[in-house]
Amino acid sequence: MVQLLKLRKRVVFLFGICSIFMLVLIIRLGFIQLREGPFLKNLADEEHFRGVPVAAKRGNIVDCNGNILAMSVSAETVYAVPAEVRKSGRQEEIAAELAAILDMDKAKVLERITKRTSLEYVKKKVPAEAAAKIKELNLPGIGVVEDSVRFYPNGSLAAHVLGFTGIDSQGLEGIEHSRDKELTGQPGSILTEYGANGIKIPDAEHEFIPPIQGNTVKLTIDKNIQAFAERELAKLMAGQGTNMEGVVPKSASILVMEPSTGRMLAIASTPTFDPNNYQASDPSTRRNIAIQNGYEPGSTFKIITLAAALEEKKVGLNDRFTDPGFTTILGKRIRCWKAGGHGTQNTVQIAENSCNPGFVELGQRLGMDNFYKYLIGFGFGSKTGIEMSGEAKGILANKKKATALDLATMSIGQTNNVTPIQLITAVSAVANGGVLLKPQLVQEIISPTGDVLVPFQKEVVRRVISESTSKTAREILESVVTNGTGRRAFLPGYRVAGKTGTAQKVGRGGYIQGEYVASFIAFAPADNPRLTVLVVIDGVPFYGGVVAGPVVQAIMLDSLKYLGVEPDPTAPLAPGTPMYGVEFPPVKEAAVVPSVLGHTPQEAEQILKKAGFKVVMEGVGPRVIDQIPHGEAEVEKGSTVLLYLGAEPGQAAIAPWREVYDPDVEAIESFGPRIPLIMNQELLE
Amino acid sequence: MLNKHHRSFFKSLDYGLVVILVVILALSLLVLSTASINVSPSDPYHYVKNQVIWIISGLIIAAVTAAIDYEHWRKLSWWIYGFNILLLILVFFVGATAKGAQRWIPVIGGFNIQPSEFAKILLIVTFAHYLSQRRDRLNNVKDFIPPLIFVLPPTLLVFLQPDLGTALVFGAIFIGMMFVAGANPWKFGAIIIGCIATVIGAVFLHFAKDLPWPLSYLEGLPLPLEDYQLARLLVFIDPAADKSGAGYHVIQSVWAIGSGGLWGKGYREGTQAQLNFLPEHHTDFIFSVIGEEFGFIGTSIVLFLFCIFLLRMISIAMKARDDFGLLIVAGFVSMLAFHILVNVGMASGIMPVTGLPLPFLTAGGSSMWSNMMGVGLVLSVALRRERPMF
Repeated sequence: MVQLLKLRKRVVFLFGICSIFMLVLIIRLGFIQLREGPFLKNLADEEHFRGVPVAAKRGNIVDCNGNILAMSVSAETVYAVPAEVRKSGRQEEIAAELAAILDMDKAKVLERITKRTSLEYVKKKVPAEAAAKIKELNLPGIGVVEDSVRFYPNGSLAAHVLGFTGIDSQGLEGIEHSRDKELTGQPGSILTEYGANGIKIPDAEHEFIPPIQGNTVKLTIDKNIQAFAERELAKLMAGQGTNMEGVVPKSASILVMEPSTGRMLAIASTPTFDPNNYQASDPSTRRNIAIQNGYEPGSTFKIITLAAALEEKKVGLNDRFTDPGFTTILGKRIRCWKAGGHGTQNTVQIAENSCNPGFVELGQRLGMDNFYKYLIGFGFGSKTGIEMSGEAKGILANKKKATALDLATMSIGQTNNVTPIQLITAVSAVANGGVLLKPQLVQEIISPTGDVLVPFQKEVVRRVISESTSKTAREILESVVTNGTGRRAFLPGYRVAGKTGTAQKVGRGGYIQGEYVASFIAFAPADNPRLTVLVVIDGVPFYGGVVAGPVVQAIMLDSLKYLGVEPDPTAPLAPGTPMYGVEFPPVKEAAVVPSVLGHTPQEAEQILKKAGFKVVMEGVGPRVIDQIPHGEAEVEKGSTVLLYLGAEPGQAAIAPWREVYDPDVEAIESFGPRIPLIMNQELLE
Repeated sequence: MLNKHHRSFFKSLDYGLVVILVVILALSLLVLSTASINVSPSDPYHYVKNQVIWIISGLIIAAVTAAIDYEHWRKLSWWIYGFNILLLILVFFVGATAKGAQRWIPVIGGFNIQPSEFAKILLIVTFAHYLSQRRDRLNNVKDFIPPLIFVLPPTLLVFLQPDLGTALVFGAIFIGMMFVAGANPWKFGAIIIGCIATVIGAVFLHFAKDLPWPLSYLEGLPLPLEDYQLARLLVFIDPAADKSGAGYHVIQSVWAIGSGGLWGKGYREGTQAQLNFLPEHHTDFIFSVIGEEFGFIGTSIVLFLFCIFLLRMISIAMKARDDFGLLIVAGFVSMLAFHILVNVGMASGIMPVTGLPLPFLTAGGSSMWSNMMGVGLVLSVALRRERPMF
């Protein structure tokens, strides 16, 4: 009996061990079923559900008034389930039929439909009737699913802004690329159950997960203003530009901004392309030069110098400037374009006349630190952050190495390299009361049901100048258009403020002769700016005021009328008296500069004097290592040739620069050496 | 006399155990009706029909076994032991090979029987008798040797079939019964733990790589196991090692159970089993189907039923008239508990794949019959339990 009692105790213990077994199992089951359950379910589902993806309809891109700029149109995709095709044993026959309908190579079709994958595309973007035929044939393992293609109803309108999409409707450029996530939506799928052997289950469960359409991206671009800009570009490219004398520019950009908000109403560039058929276009035409290219802004940049000097109270409206026709910086003469100079002028007049010595003096009064403070403050040298890929930063002269001569040239818009978007953003800050804003392209993100998901928000970068400085600058710039060099942009009944600019182009190794970047920047109405317009025409032998002014005028007039801006009864109806420089003096007598590279200074001076040129030497050495203008350049007879002396001929040439024959601006000669800045940033890469 | 006997049979029957068993059996038909539906396409209910036959015949076997006083087996113990060995040897000569092992003896009518299934029950009875004669002689390590020699011949024969799983069940029966019979818990426990550690160490060394000297001499230690058994052990150590091969069973089973979640996918809605991703889902991996289609609720209910089934048997053991009866029940409890632990553990990925059936739930006759014999023995013990004196 005692023995049995002991055994009974042990039996209880045995049950204890069994209970521990059960507990372990329950904990394990709880772990994999409750905690890991959802994860394991996904794994299991993936194993037996084969999804035929149903692409979501890509969202539209519309302009600020809801006009469609980009939309998706249905198309069909033919796919194959190779396991089923193989099982049918009819692969040859199926391949032949598909090849005939889809206009494809039979061998290629056969390869695709028998590939060892669970699902394979046969062809995408199939025409509707071909898709219908394939559906009708009901071939084993072959299916058709709806897909979509991108369509840009306005062709090339705003092509650089919109960008384009690839074969899988993925955004590749422009807004299509930057807002790909919003536009894409969520692809749905037709899920079909497959057994472990890869064959579709008879009466398999088909689950349709509907795709979720992408959101609509509403741009700040106004289709009409964009169209005005592109119309003007088309005119230019057709050789019909005002005062262009049939010359076709290499490229041109027009930007329109709302200065109070930073909204870009138009960004147009030429050459351009058709995003509906982007593959057919030359890749260079897809480059958004308004954002990606830098240039030397020339006199348009004087707006920045003026605003900075006013803000720092380095200049009063009634300050007197005496222009004897040149100014001397570090022993170098910077001439004003008017022989004998503009005489005595006040601050408004130096702006009206775009007087170089006057602006050089403003730069000197500011000093290097202040000048750079405003350069950086207005956003030069850094990206504006506009939503476009490949934005250039521009290039500023290194402050540590900059000399007084650099300061002088920077004050009149040379030396530094800026992008059109930087310039319009900075000038808009001068116009809008002094606040630098981030230029924006997206107005709102709208859900397929019409709800605004992301509203527009103005993004202030920083205040650069005060309200009152802004007001003074606006008035001075209005006077430039009304009375000064900007008269070609004058609009009767509207108060337009603006500034012209002409810059010589920099190529490899130095400036290109006889080819300018002609530009004009303006905003209106001057007392309460609604629009800032920048026109940059690249590669023309004409001056900004002459060819870019009328373009600004046309766009400004059409846009102000379109926006319903009433003419101002107080605005003058005719421009003021013509000033000097409005009638441009022609080149008196052309002469070809002989090349004197490698000669001794004495020989070089002799040769040049014989050809009728004046000579200025720079540096010390037995040989001429570089000359400006270069040999074979056609320039005005009697102008000065700058010779660089050095030890070795053929040493790396330091390219000087200047803006020749711009009576509108400045005739600068005898400038010191500097590193050339390159027009096209691509060259740097 | 016969009348009286019958009356007392039905009067004294342990209905608690019977009711739990019937519930488990009913559940097994329900589960099998979903788990085997896609196994024989010509007749989706083929396995269910067979199982009904096995259950009914099994219940008859259980009733008959229960009706016979288990004390009779004492006298026949050595005959049974000999018969057991004979059957296991017979497998090597007339056995049908299935999945790399000779486990089946063909019987007329296309049915095969699996002697190793019955060997478990026969071992329990004979070993219970053996141990009941050795009371108070299990205190020293030396005392453990004769019982070990008693169990070794059938275990080795099963191991050589090869049927590693059943051999391990023999081990579990041995351990459980030795312990209940009064083996010194410290000494016996130490030996068992030592043995388990040695086996684990040997397996580790077999697969080990880059061991420090002098252990490096033991790398790739040969094991007396078949390649597929080694592969199963390897994938138990790392299931991802062979995802589509030996690891496939385990991964599929864990996915199936896990994807069931709390409530399960529903009757016949389990994709992994129904779409044949999960192999052997009507036999060794039937628990995975329960997990997939009935969720954590289903698996908990099954484990709960097993738990109270074992508890009921424990309470029968407690009331057993003598130590022979008590040890029979303890042996059967050890066997069932080990089966459940290994089968469910395998399905949920915490035990290596050994191919042990889940008692009463896995489709198959031999396993059902042997389990029913076990139940019959337990009921027989319950029928002749100690009664309070009137």
